[in-house]
Amino acid sequence: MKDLAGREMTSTEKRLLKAFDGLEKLLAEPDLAPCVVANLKEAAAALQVAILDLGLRAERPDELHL
Amino acid sequence: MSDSPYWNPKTETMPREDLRRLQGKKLRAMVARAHAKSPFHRRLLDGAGVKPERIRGLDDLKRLPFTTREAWMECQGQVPMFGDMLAQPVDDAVRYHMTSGTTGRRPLRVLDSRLDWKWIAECWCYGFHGFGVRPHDRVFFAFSYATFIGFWGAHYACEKMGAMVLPSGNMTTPNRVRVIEEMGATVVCATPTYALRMAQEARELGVDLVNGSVQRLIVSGEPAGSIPATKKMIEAQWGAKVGDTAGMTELGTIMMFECAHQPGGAHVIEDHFVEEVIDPATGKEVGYGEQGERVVTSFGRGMIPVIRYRTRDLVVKVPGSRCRCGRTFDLYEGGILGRVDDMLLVRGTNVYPRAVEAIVREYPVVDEFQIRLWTEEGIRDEIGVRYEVRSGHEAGAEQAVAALQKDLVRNHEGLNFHVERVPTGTLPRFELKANRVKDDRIVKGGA
Ligand SMILES: [Zn+2]
Repeated sequence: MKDLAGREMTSTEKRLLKAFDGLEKLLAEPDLAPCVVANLKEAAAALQVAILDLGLRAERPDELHL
Repeated sequence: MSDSPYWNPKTETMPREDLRRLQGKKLRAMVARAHAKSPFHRRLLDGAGVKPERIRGLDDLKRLPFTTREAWMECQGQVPMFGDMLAQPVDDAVRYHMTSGTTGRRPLRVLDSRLDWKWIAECWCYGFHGFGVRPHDRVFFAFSYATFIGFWGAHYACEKMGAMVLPSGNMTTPNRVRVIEEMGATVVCATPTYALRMAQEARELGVDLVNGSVQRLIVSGEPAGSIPATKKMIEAQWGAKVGDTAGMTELGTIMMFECAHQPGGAHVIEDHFVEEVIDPATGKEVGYGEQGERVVTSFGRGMIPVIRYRTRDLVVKVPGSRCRCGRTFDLYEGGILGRVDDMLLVRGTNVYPRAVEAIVREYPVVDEFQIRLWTEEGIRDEIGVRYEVRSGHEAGAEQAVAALQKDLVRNHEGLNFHVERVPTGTLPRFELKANRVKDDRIVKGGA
């Protein structure tokens, strides 16, 4: 798996993407309490910035309305 | 945690070739998204015959049309209040800001989402960390926390980094100085003008800043932050290092920062922005070392995509290797050098307020000053500098100012400058963007 600069991703970088995808899945669960939704969104937005910084993905997760 | 001098070691030291590839991929995704989601950008791109799927890399950037402030304002006029530029629903926004509108223009209104704000703070982190701010620091913000976006992002950056924020909101200047002393602030954020104003207040209050706790000032909001003489003056009065940054409401954050090596310029945050420098008349790109207009493309702001925005800022770009810090990010030598529209035409001579400031600040006898233009006898344009003498510099003031007058004339092709002393407290003081030009001419000769 390569990053946007064309380099092989490190295992930490791959785990970072997995962590984000995990949050995305959690956010899709039905009937989450407002406190859970808000804090999951905060966490997802924060992780997304690290993904942008490291150039791991260029697409924005618009469907999450972050 | 590593003790890196870089906030983002991976990109800040990335070879230029890799960096270009990264920028190209981000550009491609950003243009596709802007075309799909922002009617404003779709109109512009379609009008220029650009097919987003054909944007493959950074070389394609030049095929994209410029965006201007005028077009942005026009779309806000047609579709109040935010225009049809937004690439996300208004409901995604968590904050509203607008430009300060000091020039009498209608303000530019912007919205940002939760993710946008995290990114806005992130760009400031590059600057704060890069200038040496660390979690143990106590950071004082001489900032009013209102609709002007200013240091909002820097405040969040410090919280994110784990530094202690000392906000000052609508405090008076004496109170601010007292809090800085009382709380042992180690970093102070202000405009260059206001940093000098606080130093003046400290002298009057008997607060010794030079031997105090402040080690760094991070300035923003005015080109003066990179004028060597102004910077030297602030550093001397505070006994601290001054780091320049520059941002704009149109981006929500800073796009450049001065690193701890103080190379006499600021690094462009090139993994989040692409900065081109063009000839403002022809639109053609100019090379390293040549002065031109900044054109910015931003990858990070989701609600407001920014594509090839004509900033009207004048800059000179040089390679990052000019600095010893190891960053590969290009530098703007001397920071923002002024604005394309700032030039004053006085009897055929070009006068740039920043150049006048650079000369005036060589004279420590001058505390505050103002550039005044007026029409003599109904026809002849005149220019002058009104100044206040710094307390303690009374002796020899007259001689120093005579030298200043000669300096101004010599640097402006013999154009006569009237230099006039005014009593202390006459001239306006500024907290946000300073405007030291008072143009009372009947017909204003501009660029
Ligand atoms: Zn540097």
